[in-house]
Amino acid sequence: MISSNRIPQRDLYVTIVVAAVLAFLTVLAVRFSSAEAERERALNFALSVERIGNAVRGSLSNHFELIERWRNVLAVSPTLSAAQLDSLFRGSRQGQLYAGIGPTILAVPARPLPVGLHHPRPGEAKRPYAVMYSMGEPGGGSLARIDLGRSAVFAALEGRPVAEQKPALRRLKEFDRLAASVPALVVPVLAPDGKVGCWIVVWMDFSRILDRVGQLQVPQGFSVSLKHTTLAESLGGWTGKDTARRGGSRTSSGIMESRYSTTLTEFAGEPLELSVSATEESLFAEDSEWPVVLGVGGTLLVLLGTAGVHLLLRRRREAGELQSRLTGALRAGEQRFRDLVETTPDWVWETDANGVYIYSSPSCAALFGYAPEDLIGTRGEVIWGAGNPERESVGVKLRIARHRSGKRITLESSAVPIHSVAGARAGLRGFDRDVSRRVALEEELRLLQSRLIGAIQAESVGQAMVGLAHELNQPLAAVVTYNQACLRMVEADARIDPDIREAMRATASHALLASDIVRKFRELVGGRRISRSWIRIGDVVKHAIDIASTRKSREKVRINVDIDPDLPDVSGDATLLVQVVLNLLNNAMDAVARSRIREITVRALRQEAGKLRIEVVDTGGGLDEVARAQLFEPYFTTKLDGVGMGLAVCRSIIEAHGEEIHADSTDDGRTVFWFTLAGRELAHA
Amino acid sequence: MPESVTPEKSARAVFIVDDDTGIRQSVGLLLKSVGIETVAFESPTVFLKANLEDAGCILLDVRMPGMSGIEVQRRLAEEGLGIPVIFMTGHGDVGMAVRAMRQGAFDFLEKPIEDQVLIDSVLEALAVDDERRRTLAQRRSAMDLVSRLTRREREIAELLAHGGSTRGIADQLELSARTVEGYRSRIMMKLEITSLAQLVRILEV
Repeated sequence: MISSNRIPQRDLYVTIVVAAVLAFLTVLAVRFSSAEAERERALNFALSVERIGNAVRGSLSNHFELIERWRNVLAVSPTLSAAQLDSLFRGSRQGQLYAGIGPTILAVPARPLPVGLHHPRPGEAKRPYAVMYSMGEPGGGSLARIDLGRSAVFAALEGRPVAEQKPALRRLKEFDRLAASVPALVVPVLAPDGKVGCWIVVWMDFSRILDRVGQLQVPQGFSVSLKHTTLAESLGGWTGKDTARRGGSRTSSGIMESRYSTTLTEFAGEPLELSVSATEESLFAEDSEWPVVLGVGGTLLVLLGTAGVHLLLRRRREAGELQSRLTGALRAGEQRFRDLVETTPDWVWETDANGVYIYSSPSCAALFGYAPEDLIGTRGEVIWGAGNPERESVGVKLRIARHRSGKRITLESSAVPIHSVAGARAGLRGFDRDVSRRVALEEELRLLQSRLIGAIQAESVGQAMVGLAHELNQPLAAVVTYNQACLRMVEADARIDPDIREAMRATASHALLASDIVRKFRELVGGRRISRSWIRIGDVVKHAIDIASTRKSREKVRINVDIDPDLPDVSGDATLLVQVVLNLLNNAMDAVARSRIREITVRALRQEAGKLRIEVVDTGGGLDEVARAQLFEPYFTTKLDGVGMGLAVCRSIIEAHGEEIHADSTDDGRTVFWFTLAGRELAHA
Repeated sequence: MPESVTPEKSARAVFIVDDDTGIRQSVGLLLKSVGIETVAFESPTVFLKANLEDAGCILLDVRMPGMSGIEVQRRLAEEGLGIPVIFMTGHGDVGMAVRAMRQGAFDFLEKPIEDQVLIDSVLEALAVDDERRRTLAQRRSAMDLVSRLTRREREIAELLAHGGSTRGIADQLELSARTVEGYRSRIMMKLEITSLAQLVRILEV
């Protein structure tokens, strides 16, 4: 009895121990496989946050890309007359030059509006805009960024007639009620007489951007925010639509969190940052129970197996419950992803290995005017054109689609391959974003910039004429002197016919007259005197490189800039000096076009006697002695299609500054063009 | 109407540096017509290699290939050559003129230069150069004489030139009046002079 009692009991113990070990191993196995799944999910999660971040950034980026370009355009505009500017910004209306999305640009008459508040279009609420005022005489073309606050306005009002102060103060009061300071770019535009003709004011209308962010369809669970230190006050601590559930306590216990941050633009010396964040808890709350569910399930299975047949029914019930919970969790997860994909304005798609669409997000209706069903099962002939179906390919590219109405849409497309379990290419999955507006704006800006460059070139021709006038003066001066010498020689000689003497005197006076005409012509053409100010040579070089950047990247030229930021400011006309550096860069790019190493270096160094020396060095093979002697002469050129004006213009400009420009060749085939400028410490000496 | 000028003959020539042949020759001709000798150089490099001892005045073009007139002037100044430099320029630029004058240019003339203005300026420059060389020569001979003195003699000569009496100097240097008297006659002998006024002039130079 005892032994027969003991044996089943021992068997029971063994069974329990084996069951416990099995249960433990099962839990481990489930844990292990779920860790794999966990990693993949984490990756997907981070990717989805980044996608949302990119979508938000994409829908805002138009607002910011422009301001950089406007900075460049405006940096060179002080040389333009008001009339030139007017033709530049065609369609200007009552002083408002440009008011697309993004930066707002106004031309403000220098007088009588020292202080003013810009009112938006009728019907719109008043918004915090910039107050404008003149800052005395212009700095001569360098950008003046001003923070327009109360104190600045008072400072500007000081010394102005009372009649002018009163309305300004009234406006200021109104302004105070509305907002704190708004930073703006203010650029003086000079009239031909050298006085300020008007001010060009550019500011970012951040309230519009906030509106845009507010309108974004941010998927549930994500929070979007903008951050800018200086603007913090005017943004009023605003953050975007924030629907994230906050699970502070659980976040610390290993809940996934992902954040995407990017700098949208820089303004007033501070970055404007966009960040998008979400916690996994808010997205995958149910999914996080997976490992526990499976672990418990596995344990139950083993225990149930040892418990006997009478538990079979119960096990079945348990398994059924588990099944439905798993299916529910999966469905919920899929729904979240679908929400993500279907709320973004981008078009999300998937094709099979033959390029036939098997999925299309509903945004295709807004983008192309077709429902997803119109595209799924086809190769997208309706949007890509029947004869020429678009082959989807991996990577990022720009492509053109056709809206149902016939309108062309430029898309920025990116795709990744999908692989089957066996590793074969099963198709592609990708995102397309409508960049038509951005592309159109870029085109418009390119046009503006080329017009601006045209205006600069007109100025160059003027400078070249000055050089030409100088060249003409040289032989005239020789004629006059020869004549005077001869007159002196014949004066004493009584044998010379008096008529000859008379003719020689007439020759002298005619030559002097010609020389006088040349001088007047020179003053007329070169009417614009250089307007000096203290400028940073690094800024001059940067502007020139910006203007040359298209050509630089097209011809794959490398431009190194080696300029110590501690160098003193130099005295000069910023615009004309940009022209000089630009001409030298263009020359250098011509020179390196045929050489293997396409490298240009722009350097600035200290020279003795408070001078700075600016060098543009190219690897184009150097100069021969003959070329070196005539380089700066007008109409001298070594290029097939050159007119030989560039360097003559450079010399005119540099000499008008009272400085020198030269060219040297080095033994290793480099050409160094260099000019001098007076550094600031010289002025104090 | 050009006047006839009879310049004082200078022993030295006017050096003309200009890359323009017309200017070089016409200016040479003009100066020759009033009896001033000229030497012409077509480039700054050739000019800087020449013997500048013979130059009484330098006519320098501002704008030349390779090296500007301003740079040439700077190099001359570095070498301590005090020859007057007159700039000729085809474009009357104020900034350039200020810089040249600050560097010590003698004159800055805009082409075409009126003959009389050029001649006057050159003559004045030659006269200044003559005076400069004369002073230089005088100083050199005075220094030769003074260098014959011993240190003690030099010291006593300085005190005498500053109006010190024999008695006073003797007290100051703790010497006897006789010794000072002895020094004095030796100084007069070595400097080949007879009066105190001559002593003062030599030491002044």
